[in-house]
Amino acid sequence: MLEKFTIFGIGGCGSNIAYQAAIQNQMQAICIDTDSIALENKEQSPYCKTLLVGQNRFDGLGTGGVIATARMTANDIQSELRKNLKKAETSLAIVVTGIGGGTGSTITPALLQVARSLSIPTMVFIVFPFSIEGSEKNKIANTAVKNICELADIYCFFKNDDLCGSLLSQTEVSLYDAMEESSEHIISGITMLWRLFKKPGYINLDLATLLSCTKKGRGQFYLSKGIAYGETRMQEVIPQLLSGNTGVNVHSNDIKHAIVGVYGGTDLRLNEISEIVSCLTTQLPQDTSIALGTAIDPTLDGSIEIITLLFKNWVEQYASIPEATIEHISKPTQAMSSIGDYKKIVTPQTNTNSPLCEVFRGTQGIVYRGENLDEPTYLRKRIPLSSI
Amino acid sequence: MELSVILEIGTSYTRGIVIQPNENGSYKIIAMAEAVNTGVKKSEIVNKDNTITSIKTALKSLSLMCGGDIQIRSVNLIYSGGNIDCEQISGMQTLQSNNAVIEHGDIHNALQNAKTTHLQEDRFIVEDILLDYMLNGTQRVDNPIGMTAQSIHTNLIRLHVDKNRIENILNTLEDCSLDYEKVYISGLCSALGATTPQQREEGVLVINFGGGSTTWAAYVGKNPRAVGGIPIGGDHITNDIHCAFKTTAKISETLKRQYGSATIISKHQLLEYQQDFTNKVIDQCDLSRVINARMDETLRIIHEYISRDNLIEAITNIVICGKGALLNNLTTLTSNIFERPCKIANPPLPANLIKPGANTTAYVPLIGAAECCTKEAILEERKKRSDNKIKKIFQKIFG
Ligand SMILES: Nc1nc2c(ncn2[C@@H]2O[C@H](COP(=O)(O)OP(=O)(O)O)[C@@H](O)[C@H]2O)c(=O)[nH]1
Ligand SMILES: [Mg+2]
Repeated sequence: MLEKFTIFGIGGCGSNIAYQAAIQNQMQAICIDTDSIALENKEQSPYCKTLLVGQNRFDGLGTGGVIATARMTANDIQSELRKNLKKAETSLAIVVTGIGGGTGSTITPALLQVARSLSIPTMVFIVFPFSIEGSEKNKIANTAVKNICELADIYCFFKNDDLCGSLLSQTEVSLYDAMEESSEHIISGITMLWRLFKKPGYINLDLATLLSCTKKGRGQFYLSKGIAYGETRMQEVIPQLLSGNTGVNVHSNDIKHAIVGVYGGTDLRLNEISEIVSCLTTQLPQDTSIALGTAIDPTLDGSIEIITLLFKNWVEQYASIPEATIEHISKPTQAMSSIGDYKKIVTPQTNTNSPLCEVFRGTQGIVYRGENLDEPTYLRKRIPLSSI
Repeated sequence: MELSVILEIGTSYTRGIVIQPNENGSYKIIAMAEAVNTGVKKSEIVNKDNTITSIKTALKSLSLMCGGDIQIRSVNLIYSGGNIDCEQISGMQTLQSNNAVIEHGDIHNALQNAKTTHLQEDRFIVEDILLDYMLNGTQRVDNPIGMTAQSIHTNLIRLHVDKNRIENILNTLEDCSLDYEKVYISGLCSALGATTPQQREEGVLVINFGGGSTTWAAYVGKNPRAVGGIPIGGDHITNDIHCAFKTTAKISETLKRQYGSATIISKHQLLEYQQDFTNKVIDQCDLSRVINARMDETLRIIHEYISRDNLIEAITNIVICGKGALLNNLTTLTSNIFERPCKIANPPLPANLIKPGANTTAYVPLIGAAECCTKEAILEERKKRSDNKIKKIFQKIFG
């Protein structure tokens, strides 16, 4: 099966990162912003599509942080987002967004909601503002993160403070430089992730594996990485991985599953791989399951790169219902009513399309945040059941 | 005074009571009956014939309990469907001259102006409840008669429901040769039946967990501030259990009632049951996870609803009622989610009607509606009497 992945960048921060990651990896990007100037240079690239939104409210000048109006825009453009998401024909939406500003904070939840209603899995990278940017931004970020996490399948936090906060104490470093530096971390993370799942190696992880993570690992994950060259590469790479400046604590006991990718040249040795695995096994909580993948690229001779995705939740199986049935969780049809917006009620339609709520056949379905509430909550929320 | 009949067409039962209102505002329940109903799902009528049978059975029991000599022709209906919603509406009237004294007519006009507020065609207005008046667009008052102002606003809360569904129910009543006097909203009646005026004054949220739907009302001060309902109820929990463990509906229901918990039970404990003549087991921890997921979701939807207009800040207590409220640990979960104390309503009922010690929480909306009916009956009685008085005066004058 041919899997197609698309990276969505939202707002100034998200668009910059998505754009650069797309160019590096020759993948498809869609950048969405309210700011026409920020999008201008990006439309030149064959890998990038741009979507200027909210022109009627912001004149293409960005939101200026006016959250209330930005929210209205998010509401206005639902069908536009739906159209673009459908057209992208993507198997997975990788979404990058910076929160604290107006665009990323409000358009991201709207995009995720549409993705969910189209049953497109989502993997979201969320960038938090520097704390020195002020309490207002951080307040907006805190609200936005709640809305986003609720709608994302899997998500990962990047805190500008953790990544590059220390840089800011150096007088010659501007906020802009620190952001660029921080972006570099995130872009290289995405690049490594992409290579791991795309390039062949001794042990393959394919894109279907990544896709299944959005179901099995639903919720938060951490991303940590290490890069080193030359003779001492092993001594250097492991500490980076364990206490990298990505704000991840590999020792934390809330990790249920780890995906470890090792990436190197033709000189990558098996004993190096085993050293990494045994090191992680001792560092991670005892019952953490580990999946390993490798990728080989001759241009990387001499160096080693490691990336880990650490999932806080992991369920191999969700319930006695086979995975195929889970996909049956029906897409909301227009005819169902949405809570809180009774204007949207169209003529009542019977609720017959899901085997998961056969008993309610004949009644009107009800949709909340893209989910059919008649269907079992534990399946929709992927609550793990131990005994099955 | 005349007897009143109150009927609730619920998902598993039709419940009815007959009350005798008294002049002093109290009332006496003189009959109470329950009849199984298989014609309703998620508070929607899906099989009219079964529903009619259930209503007729309930009415017959009521009539027998009243000595068999009453003919029930009209009822007060409790509507417990999903898709109950409310909105604030207001109307304004400018006074003829600047700073004129407000009279009844001005208030009447301001009320009428509010009531013309447009509603979507697929909604049915159950009631417009007066909240307060505002003078000159700023000053809130309870009774503006005799005050001077340039303009008067009326603020009302409008309760509305899905038009198709309520019309289905009203048509079904008609098919039983019944008139309806008034429609009461389940959440609102529950609030009245489960709390004292003092509790409502302090801010209270009352949630009624029914089989087919969950309804609620929040009171702050004398008036309701939010009234709502969704078609998600105890039957959904039962179906969730059925999906998770492949248990029959009956076993799922038993597991829910006896071993279910709204909070997660972390200890793994195996429960045995028989199905298809074989012994099976499930883990009580898993059972609680399935139930917790559903209840957590339902409560958070209500939380979100109540958080509109920051209403949540004004709520100090939560009271839950309805048969679904008997789910183990539901008060704990509710209290955790709303960060407010929570208890189950279990109002006293006359000993001749219900076994002493039996739980009465399922009757809460009927009790609330009984209070409303009593008030209505007294108003009706007074009107009748003043009509009579006028009649007598006329007779005196004109012979
Ligand atoms: N790491 C990084 N962070 C950024 C970048 N641009 C903006 N940010 C952060 O993201 C937050 C939101 O900014 P921005 O994306 O420009 O706002 P929006 O366009 O209105 O969504 C800011 O407060 C910054 O902390 C960037 O290029 N790199
Ligand atoms: Mg911007």
